[in-house]
Amino acid sequence: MDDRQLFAQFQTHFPARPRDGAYERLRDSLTRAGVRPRRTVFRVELPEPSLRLLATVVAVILIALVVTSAFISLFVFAHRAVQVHSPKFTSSCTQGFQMTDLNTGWSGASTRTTDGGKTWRTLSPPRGLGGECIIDGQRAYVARGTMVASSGPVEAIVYATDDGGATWKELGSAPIDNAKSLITLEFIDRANGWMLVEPPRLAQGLTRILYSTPDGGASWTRVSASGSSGLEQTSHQCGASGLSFINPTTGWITWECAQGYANTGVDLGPTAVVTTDGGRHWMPAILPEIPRGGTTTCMAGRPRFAHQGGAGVLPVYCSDPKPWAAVYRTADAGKTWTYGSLRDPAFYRQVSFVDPRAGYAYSNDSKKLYRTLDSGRTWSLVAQDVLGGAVDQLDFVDAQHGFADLRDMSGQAIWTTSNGGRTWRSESPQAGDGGSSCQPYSKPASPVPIAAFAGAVAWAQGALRTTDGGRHWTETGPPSVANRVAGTAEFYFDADVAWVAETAGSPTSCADSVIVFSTADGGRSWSQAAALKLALAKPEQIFDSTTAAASRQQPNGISSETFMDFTDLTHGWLMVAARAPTEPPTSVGPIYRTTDGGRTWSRVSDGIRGDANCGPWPSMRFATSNAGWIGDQACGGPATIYVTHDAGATWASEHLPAPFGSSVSAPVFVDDHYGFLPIGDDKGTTLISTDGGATWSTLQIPVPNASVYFIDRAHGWAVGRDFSQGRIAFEATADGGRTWNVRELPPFGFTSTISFVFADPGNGLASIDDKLYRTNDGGRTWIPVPYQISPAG
Amino acid sequence: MVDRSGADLIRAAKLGDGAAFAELLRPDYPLAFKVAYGLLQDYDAAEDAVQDASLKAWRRLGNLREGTSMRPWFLAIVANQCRETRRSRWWSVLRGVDRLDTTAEIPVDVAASFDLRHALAQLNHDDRLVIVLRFYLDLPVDEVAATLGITPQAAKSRLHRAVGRLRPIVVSQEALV
Repeated sequence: MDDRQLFAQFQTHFPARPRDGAYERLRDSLTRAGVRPRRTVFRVELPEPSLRLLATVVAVILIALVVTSAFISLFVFAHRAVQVHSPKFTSSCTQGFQMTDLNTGWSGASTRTTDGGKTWRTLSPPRGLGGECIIDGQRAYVARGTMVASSGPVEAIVYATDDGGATWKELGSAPIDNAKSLITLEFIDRANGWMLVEPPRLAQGLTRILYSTPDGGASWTRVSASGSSGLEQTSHQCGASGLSFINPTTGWITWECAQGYANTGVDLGPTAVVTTDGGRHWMPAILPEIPRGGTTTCMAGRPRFAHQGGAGVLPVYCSDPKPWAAVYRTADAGKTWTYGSLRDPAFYRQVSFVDPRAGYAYSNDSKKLYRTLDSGRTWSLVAQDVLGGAVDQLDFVDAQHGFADLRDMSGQAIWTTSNGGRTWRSESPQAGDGGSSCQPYSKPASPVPIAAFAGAVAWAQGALRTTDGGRHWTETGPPSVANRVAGTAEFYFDADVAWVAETAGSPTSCADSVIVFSTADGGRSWSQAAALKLALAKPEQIFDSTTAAASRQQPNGISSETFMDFTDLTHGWLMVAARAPTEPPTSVGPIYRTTDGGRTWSRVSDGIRGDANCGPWPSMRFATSNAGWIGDQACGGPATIYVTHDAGATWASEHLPAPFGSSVSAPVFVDDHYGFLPIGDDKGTTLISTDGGATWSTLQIPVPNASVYFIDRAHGWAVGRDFSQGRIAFEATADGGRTWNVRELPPFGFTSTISFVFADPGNGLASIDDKLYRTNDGGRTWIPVPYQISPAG
Repeated sequence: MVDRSGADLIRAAKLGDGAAFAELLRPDYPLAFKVAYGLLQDYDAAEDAVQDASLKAWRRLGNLREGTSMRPWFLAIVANQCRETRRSRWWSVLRGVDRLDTTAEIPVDVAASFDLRHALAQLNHDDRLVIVLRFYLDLPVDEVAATLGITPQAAKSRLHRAVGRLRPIVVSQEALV
């Protein structure tokens, strides 16, 4: 796909116009808003030039005094021991990033850490839209809106885990209006829970419903609904930010109105409502000094209360016409609230209370961390510029130990402090310039088969291995190296022999070294080769993380980027594909080679560097101990590929008989002579070589955008998406591609991720999203395989 | 109807005339919306983001240097607003809506659109922004650079890197079916 195609795709598939009346709505809101732009230049006029020197001297002295006193105050404050007076908060639900102790934490219900944020494991909670509730390190709930049958009733089904997300058990369900409903959960103990179901945003006319359970989630009873209970007092444009009970009768709902609705001029109702009858009736919570009326929109965080004594805190933020934030405190379990300034409105999203008195707040604007020891009456500066990026969430486990989630779309980085926020360090290696977080390694959540062999043995991504056709998988992989980050290459040679390359970062680099492990006994024991120091150009950046697992037989099944290849038990290659901001895009290298089965590796080439506009496609394959290929991007030119005939020492570009502008990955050889190279165009073009890659001829497969998979010279499968017909084609050949026959695939969504492997012409495994299927008739029929994943040993 | 010049409008907007500021934004509104939609992939969120960005832009109008084009300046504010939106809790709640939609029967063009959106969503903010500006808005590289606050050469380089990251995702999604 070249740039023109990409451009055409954007123009074709993206809506191009704002909705009718959008500009008029903006104009109306601007007309009502009454903003006065800030002046940016301030000037003080001194009457006499002779006075300027005097004024300057006075100003310098005053500034020096202020700075000195501030420094002394900061020093004294920072070294004062924190006194924790108040009991801890109640242990009801939390959401999002949450550390439950110094080691265990969750990022939603889908990822979890047990080593203080150094590594995160992907979990598989039931899929769908709904609510989540983290109780402690082991127990969590999720609720999912689900249509029971096509065009049938819709339910919110509640699931729970007691083993840190390893398994989820269905508890019970409640009827809801819409599968896309927003769901907020609350449990105060093993028995009593609540579930607030809200219509999707802007879905007017639907009902907001509160359910409760007295039996741990097995049965749900409708307690109240918008209409007359007080739940309707908040605009449909607002959603619950928290549902919080302190006992079976008393609880709060706090509302969060999306930004942008500030300008509707509609009274959005109270910011928090309270119930004293278990949720049947709700009344506005009285919050003194909160801005009201006009175009003001407020949102509140979830209130938190101490186990005993009724002390609690409630953060509130109001926007427009002027940002405003407060921490309300209560000493009577929320009957009355006292206003306390949050000092800087920018604190609102990053405020964390350890108990009702001690809390921390961080501003991404000023990069300052403040602390309060008196429920927000006063705030003192703890530190400034101590975190390497914008904080998404702040979470203090106790007065000394805190975590900051610096997650962005590019990845997640957890920073920790053990001295009350004075100093912080990254738990995941940072790029040298401190500007980017390294992508941590995460284990696969479900088996994605990579290679299948006789005897029902198969390997899956992450060195999962099965010996019973996929029902039981064992995590056989080598131990993770210290500071392991994304950037894994795996190669499965047969049922017992495999290599796994892991990437390690360091405090100054995301990709400091690569360590290759090898096994010859199915993963029961691993040998470790000496670390390959990468010494990437500064500033080092994120190691290209999509070095997906691949076996010799696996073409494009997981990813076209293959960085490790073996032609026999002794000869192998490892290609590093890193990227740095100062380097041209799509360079690959260095390339390492082993001739002793991975015990030792030597650098054979610096790799291939692209120019400012184009470069190699990061994909490498070898057919023999000397002949290998690296893919290339056409970038609007003829199709080419890089070839080596001296075991990777030198590489030369060669033309391919493929359509102009085709970018190609490296070919896959089923033996020394016979290789396939799918082009991936809409005509199903595939190149085939019978002479070890010396010449290539064209094979047209009746599968557009085909990925091909051959297990020998005769037997192969092709799968591809036909955009013109809106179908997915899957066909098989038993004569080297001359004729093809339609095959079936297990049920899948149009956007599902499908991967399959075959041990022989009949037996194969397919993974579709997180489900696993097996065939014994070459793909004519598939049956689901329920599976388990167990740790080694 | 009285036709006011750009300078008059800016002067009036600086004095607090919302209608004047809206008039200044009118030519760029469709583009701003497209930037927001490209980054957020949600009509409501995009409209909200542009609205919020407009208020911020109005407050910062004093920062706009005389003689500077308003469009890149405004688009940059919209892009920053989208970054903030993606960080908010609301966004994290609503993001799941798209995921749920994928299980439904999807017509082919919608599916292709989803693929592109899904691929785009896997890029980081900076990569996504440069792709949206160039391929979705069809802005010339000079204007992309002005919006990003970098040199045209750096914009080209960033664009190539972003495309290099997007292309394998799109292609692999095609391959992975």
